[in-house]
Amino acid sequence: MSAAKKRKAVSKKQPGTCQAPSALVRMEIDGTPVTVPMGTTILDAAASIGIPIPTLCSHPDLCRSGNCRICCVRVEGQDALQSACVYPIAEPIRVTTGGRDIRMARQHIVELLLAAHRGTCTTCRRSDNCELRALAASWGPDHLLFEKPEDCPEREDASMPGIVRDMDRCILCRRCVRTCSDLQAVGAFEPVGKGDDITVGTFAARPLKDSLCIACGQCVVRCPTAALSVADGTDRVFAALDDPRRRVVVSVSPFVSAAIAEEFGCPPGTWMESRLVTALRRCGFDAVYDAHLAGNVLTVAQMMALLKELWIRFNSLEDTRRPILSSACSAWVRWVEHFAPDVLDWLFPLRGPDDLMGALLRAHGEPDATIVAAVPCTACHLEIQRNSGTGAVRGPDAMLTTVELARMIRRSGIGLSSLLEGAFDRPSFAPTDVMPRYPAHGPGSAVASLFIETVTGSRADIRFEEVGGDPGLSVARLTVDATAEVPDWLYPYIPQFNCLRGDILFGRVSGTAAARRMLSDIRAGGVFSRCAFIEVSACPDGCAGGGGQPVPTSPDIRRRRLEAVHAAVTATGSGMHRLHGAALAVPDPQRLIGASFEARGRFLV
Amino acid sequence: MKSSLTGKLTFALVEPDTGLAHAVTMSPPGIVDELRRSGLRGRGGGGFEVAEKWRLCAAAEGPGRFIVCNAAEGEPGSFKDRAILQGFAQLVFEGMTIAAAAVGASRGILYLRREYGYMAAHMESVLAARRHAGLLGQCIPGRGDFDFDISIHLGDGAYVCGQETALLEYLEGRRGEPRNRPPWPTTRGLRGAPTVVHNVETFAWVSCVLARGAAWFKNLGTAGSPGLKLFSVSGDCQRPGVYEFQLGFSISELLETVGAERVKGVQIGGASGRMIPPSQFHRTIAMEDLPYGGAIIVFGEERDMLDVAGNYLRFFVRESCGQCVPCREGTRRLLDGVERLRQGRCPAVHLDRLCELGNTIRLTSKCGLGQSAPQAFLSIVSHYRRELMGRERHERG
Ligand SMILES: Cc1cc2nc3c(=O)[nH]c(=O)nc-3n(C[C@H](O)[C@H](O)[C@H](O)COP(=O)(O)O)c2cc1C
Ligand code: SF4
Ligand code: SF4
Ligand code: SF4
Ligand code: FES
Repeated sequence: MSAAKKRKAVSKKQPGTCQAPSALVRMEIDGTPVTVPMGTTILDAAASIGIPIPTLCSHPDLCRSGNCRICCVRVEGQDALQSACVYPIAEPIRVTTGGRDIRMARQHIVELLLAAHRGTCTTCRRSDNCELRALAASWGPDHLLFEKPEDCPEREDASMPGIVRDMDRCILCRRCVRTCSDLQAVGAFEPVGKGDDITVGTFAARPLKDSLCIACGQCVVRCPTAALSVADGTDRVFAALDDPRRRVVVSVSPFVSAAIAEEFGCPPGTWMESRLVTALRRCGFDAVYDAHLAGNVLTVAQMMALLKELWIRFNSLEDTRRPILSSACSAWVRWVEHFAPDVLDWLFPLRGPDDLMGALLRAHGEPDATIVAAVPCTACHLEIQRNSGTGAVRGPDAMLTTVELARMIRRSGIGLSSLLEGAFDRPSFAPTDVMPRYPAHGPGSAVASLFIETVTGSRADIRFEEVGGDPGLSVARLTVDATAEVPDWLYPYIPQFNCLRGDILFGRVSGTAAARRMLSDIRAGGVFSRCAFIEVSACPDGCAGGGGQPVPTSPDIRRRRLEAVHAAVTATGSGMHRLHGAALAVPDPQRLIGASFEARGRFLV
Repeated sequence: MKSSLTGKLTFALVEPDTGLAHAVTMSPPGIVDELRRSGLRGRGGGGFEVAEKWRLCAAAEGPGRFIVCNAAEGEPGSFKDRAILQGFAQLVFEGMTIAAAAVGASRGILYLRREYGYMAAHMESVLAARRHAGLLGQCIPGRGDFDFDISIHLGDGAYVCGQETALLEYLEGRRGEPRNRPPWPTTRGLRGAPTVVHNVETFAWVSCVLARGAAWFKNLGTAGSPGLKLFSVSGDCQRPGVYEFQLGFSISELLETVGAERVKGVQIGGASGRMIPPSQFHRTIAMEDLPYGGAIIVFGEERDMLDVAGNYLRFFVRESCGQCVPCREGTRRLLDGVERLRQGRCPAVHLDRLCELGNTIRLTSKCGLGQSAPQAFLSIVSHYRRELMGRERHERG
């Protein structure tokens, strides 16, 4: 390995943009005075008084890198234009955001990007929400001044199921590089080469599937163009639907219902579940199921495991203290397999909800159907791969992400606004029509909610609080004072609840970079080491921000999606254990719900 | 190597370590004041005032401070830093030590261009001798509390690594790519600590200024650019080499000194500089007229200016770090333009648009590489437009 290869591909932190603001600075933008905390960027200062500055390489979730230069503005007294997104205001400067130089510069930048970009907008999946195209409409030239490259090398990489990389469309903004290293602590991408040969590449130019990529798709939802996109699986599903002899059913994740409306022009946070059910029936699905049922089964299973563990700890002399980590997110599992294989056995080995839903349907009443899962996630494909050939009941036959599902609905010629509301079909393992809804990765962690409801006999308001100002890390402290009777179905796991009196901590982690911080916290004996159970999802803000969700994404968009999911949560979880019991009433329940993981490590050959 | 003043380089005349001996008797602000009085500006191309850089660094808050000597010398046609390191490494290390005393740094790093690695052994021995003599290491004489040591770090071959923030990134183990500024290295440099980065030559002059006094230096050169400076002169002349000049000399004087006749243009400042046509040979090399880099290249009458522009652009297309759009994409479009000119397929309007693009590259690039990349092209277009446009049209190929 050459020295250059060994260099870390770490994106640059911008100290100026992340500094804790203290003093205030009074400055002026386009003649309007504004007072901002020291260290605020010109971009943010301008936004605060409603002055729009175009951006491209910056993203609300990422450290600013200042490499596209589209946000250039003039700071009085400086010869060169400055990039507003990375310029921290430290003194009373005067800024102008318009004028000939700036207009020409932005036009040139767009033009240069277009000249190097080999995309054809008319056949591009992202043309409706491509940031380059939007910039070209406002700032670009009427005619291209420079010639497009003549050669068109085939540079598509579809090796990773669910994700397509097409470097012909890459504009080298490096958002994916920053996403993968800063948010996901994976670092699958790095800039390779320099000058006009530069590309964003993987280690040793390997196909993505042979890199350390965990398929979280976070780079996909942050790519401004179609250089990274969700692989299209709609054709396969259409083919199944078109075959009259086949029964085709679909299960829908609540996180799809929380986000799909955005694909049809609705604001983020629009909950679209019952009309989606109707739309899917119109598309030709023979039955439409609610995947949160499998989520409920998992919640009960995780709580039972937790109670069992707590009882063992209560009785054992040695201190076996270590948290149980959730395993519902397959990207997170893959991350542990690669980057922290030593803690694999802290994971309680269960399948993820969408995969489990497919298996449950197959085991109960739909043995011959083609089962499709509508998911917010690009990583579910990994889980299907993982389970195949292990003797486990097969999960879904096909996965469709939110964006693919929306495409399917559009291609079926269905207008959502005119649809009547529909209700989910009841799978044969569900004891009643109405089932409690306890979504995982939601604002109240499902396991914590069910735990407190079961142990104390009443539902408590669970408040997760950020740890150390890190939006990816939070902990809820629950107090068990009065305890309920142990229900019969739990008796084999824990004979009395009295031993649980006192405080118990639940952790919630989102984003694998945050998860890495969580693991170091545990090793350092921090607050996470005292948690009983930690729910981890690989994507920032969990499945609401999954890699198959609509583009764009931002903390605000994801918060609204989560609120939409939260609003649909039911008041009580009673009845969940009956669902769990019915779902797993098969000869070998482990084949349905169990999972096994593999220590992969960081070095792939 | 010769001086236009005395025939001998000042560096050869100054007794090593007299400057340092002087400096350790002064207070840190006193050293900065002395440099301010000398008017010394950086010799690495930017021409920033040395005393001001030190003041900013000393005033910044930080965990420790660093002194970095930039021996990247990647500018095509520049070889003066190599000559200084070979002949006067003592003065350079002395200057770094003086800077450390002034700003309160305890570590110095000399970033040495990989191609100059053969000099590392010699320089290590100079460092060892200095440590032995108590001029480096713990408790440097005269100032009981002053610890300072210097290490040599072999650099990367890339030109952009000479840009100070790219150099710092490289030293931190990342890709050598320029950072956004502000914050400047004087506030957040190496590993977040306030850092002074200077060119090799700048440090050597610091030693001379402290040895001979600010007034001596200030009285040389011009009001805006006091003092002496080394230049690497190459190209179509009889006596290429490293020259010491008082700033403020005219191009005609220079051409006479180096023995150049029938000159078509002089490139001041290497690839990132600009082409000066004969009609402007009366102009002077000084901040107030023609800003100086370390390299001066003479082009004789038989040179094809389009080739010259193309070669310089090709250099930037290759050496751009590839980070920012105007530099990465813009320079190669300018190069395409040169190709069109060569084929006689570049109408005047297109050439004008290319110049506008050049202006954008200059205004919006993230670092000095991009900001200066179009300069050679733009100056050649403005002074030799006839020659460039006069190509016979022929098909591509
Ligand atoms: C592309 C690029 C290359 C540079 N290369 C060098 C170099 O090789 N040596 C150098 O001393 N300064 C170089 N500089 C200038 C440095 O960024 C910096 O300004 C200089 O080291 C400061 O030293 P001074 O204060 O002595 O001028 C380069 C700048 C740019 C933009
Ligand atoms: S899918 Fe996730 S792990 Fe893979 S490259 Fe993208 S951000 Fe990195
Ligand atoms: S793949 Fe997308 S996100 Fe990554 S650098 Fe290219 S355009 Fe930017
Ligand atoms: S101007 Fe060129 S060398 Fe400098 S940061 Fe931009 S791309 Fe890199
Ligand atoms: S958005 Fe500011 S440089 Fe790209």
